[in-house]
Amino acid sequence: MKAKTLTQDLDGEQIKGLRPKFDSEDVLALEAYDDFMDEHHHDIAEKLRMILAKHPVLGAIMNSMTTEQLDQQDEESRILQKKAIREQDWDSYAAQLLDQGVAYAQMGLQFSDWSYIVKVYRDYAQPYISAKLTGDIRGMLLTLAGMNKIIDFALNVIAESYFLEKERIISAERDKTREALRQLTVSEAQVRVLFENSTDVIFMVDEHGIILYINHVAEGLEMSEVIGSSFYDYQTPATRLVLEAGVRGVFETGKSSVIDHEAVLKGGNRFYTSSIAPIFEGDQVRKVAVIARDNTEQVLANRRVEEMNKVLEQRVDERTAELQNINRELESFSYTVSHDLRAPIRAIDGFTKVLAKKAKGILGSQENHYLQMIVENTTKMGQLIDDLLAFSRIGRVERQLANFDMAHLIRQVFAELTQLNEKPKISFFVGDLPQVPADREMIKLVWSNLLDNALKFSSTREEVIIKITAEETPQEVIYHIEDNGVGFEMEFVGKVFGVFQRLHSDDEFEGTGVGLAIVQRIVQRHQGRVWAHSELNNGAIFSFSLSKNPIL
Amino acid sequence: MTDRIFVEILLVEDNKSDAELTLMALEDFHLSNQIVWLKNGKEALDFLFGRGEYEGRDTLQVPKIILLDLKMPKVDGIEVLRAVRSDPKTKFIPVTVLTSSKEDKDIVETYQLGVNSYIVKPVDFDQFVKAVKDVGYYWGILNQHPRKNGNTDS
Repeated sequence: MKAKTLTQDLDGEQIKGLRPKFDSEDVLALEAYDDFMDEHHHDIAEKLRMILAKHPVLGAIMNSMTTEQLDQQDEESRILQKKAIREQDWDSYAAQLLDQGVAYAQMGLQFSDWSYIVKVYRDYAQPYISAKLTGDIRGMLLTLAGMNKIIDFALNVIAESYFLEKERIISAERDKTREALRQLTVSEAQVRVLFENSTDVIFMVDEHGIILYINHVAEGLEMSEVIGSSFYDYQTPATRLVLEAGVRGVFETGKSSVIDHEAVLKGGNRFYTSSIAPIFEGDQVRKVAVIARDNTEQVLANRRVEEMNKVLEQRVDERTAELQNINRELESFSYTVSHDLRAPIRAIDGFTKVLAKKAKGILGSQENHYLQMIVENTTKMGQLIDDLLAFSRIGRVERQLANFDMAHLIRQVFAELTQLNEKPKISFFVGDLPQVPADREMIKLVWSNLLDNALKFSSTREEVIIKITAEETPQEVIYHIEDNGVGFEMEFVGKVFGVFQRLHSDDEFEGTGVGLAIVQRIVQRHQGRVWAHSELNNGAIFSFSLSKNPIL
Repeated sequence: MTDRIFVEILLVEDNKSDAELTLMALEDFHLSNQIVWLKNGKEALDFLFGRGEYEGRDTLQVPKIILLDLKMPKVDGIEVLRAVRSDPKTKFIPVTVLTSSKEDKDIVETYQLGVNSYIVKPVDFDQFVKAVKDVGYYWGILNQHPRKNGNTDS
């Protein structure tokens, strides 16, 4: 039992104070005990060890030591005891006993445990001694008296150091606790600094929303009036409901949540984003902590942006409506104009022809030529009006999107066109054409115009070659129509899709210059693009794309 | 006076030139005494139902064919057609729309109201004459009207 030595802490005088005062009778008794122990020490020690091994605390201590260590300890103790009795060296024995008391205290032995050892020793040693010395009553009484003397001495010395050590341990623990408490106090103060200086409003509320504690209050409010009042009373009606539900949720689930709310304060409404966290007592949520961050400026800024967006949207809507209106008016205008223009042309044409018929034989060839020129021009004017009508109609008619067989449609259009026109030999090729949702009637008009153009501008060739192909991208299908006609110079490509824009005179190829404008307008109404590539006298390729997912 | 004439063709047309050209086209049928030209929808309705200027006209005397323009002042062709089709005395009169309008809306609407044919006036006079002649011949001469068979009119 290697103990932290108390003897080092005690000075020599203190140990000297422990020396017993024995008279001659006592010395005789001690020597008788010593004589007896010379013979029976081992027996008694071994028996005692067996009994003490059953004690819950002592047994555990003894089990932690080897037999040799225990033997050695007993031996040392016996030697010191003997030296004390025979040579009056009580100081060394006392020092050893003091160490023993310290060790008992450090091992957490209670005084009751320790007195148990003495009791066991007495209860065993007394009958043992009596039995061994039955024939020698005086020797037996002396030996028993000696045993009691030595036990009393040992008990006193051990108790001395045991209680000293106990006191020292308690005092050390108290110091430790005091230090821990001191440190705790410091950290709480630090938390308090953080808490009180936080720009966030931090407070605790109970399950009814009553504010129990708050770090600081808004301008115009007093801490004393805020504590004890309801957190909900500072909210707008709408956010009050949201908060009540939110806080209830935290109490019920024990999980924190974040809620946006608007507080009604004396300085004006403020917007907060609050983190609401449960405070547990055991497994019950007793309070919640609310950390409210003021984000009024951000909310107001967002609102301004939203308002501006709304104003912008409204302006766009107004502008769109205005444009749609203008567009409608324009279309209605162009329709009315084209429509009403037909009647006078019909009249001019009609009366000129009647005149020519009635004045036959009266007028000369020159005059007849003039009448002919009037008729020709009215015909041309009529054609222009018809095309213009067709063009203006495209913008007004609603699209009916559907999938249909594109190649079939093209062949149908081609048949209609070539039925009317006597053409030279025509090689007509239609490749694989993917389907896209589109307005069949409008797309028919597209092919009708493109095919009509291809046939018209190739009509001077000995063999007309027209090829229609398609390619597919993830978003759209692109159609190409290629002819071997007269083509055009690429510098004029920007003009081919314009209304009434023509690249050839009527003497070369007839036309009003509306066909490709119609094509472009239809394709654009399908969110597609249209373009052309050509070389003078080397054919032309017209291409257009149609979206696979057109916007309705 | 018109109420004494047995009307074969009723032409409702606000455009003077178109009316004159139409009449000219119909000259070959030698029906000029039996063609009545009315200048707008209101006149047409007054004539057909014996009102206003035509108060007292024998409304049992119905034309064999009405050639009807659509775009007219006051009462347009659609309204005339609707009125004609909703009166038992006039609902069997064949009506041919003769108009400048190629609008789908107009075509669909007149067919829904029960028009017999719809002709877009060609700009070319020769075609125009042919169209009017065809219509006049078909409805005015060739077609058998229920009245002729004595099956209608109580």
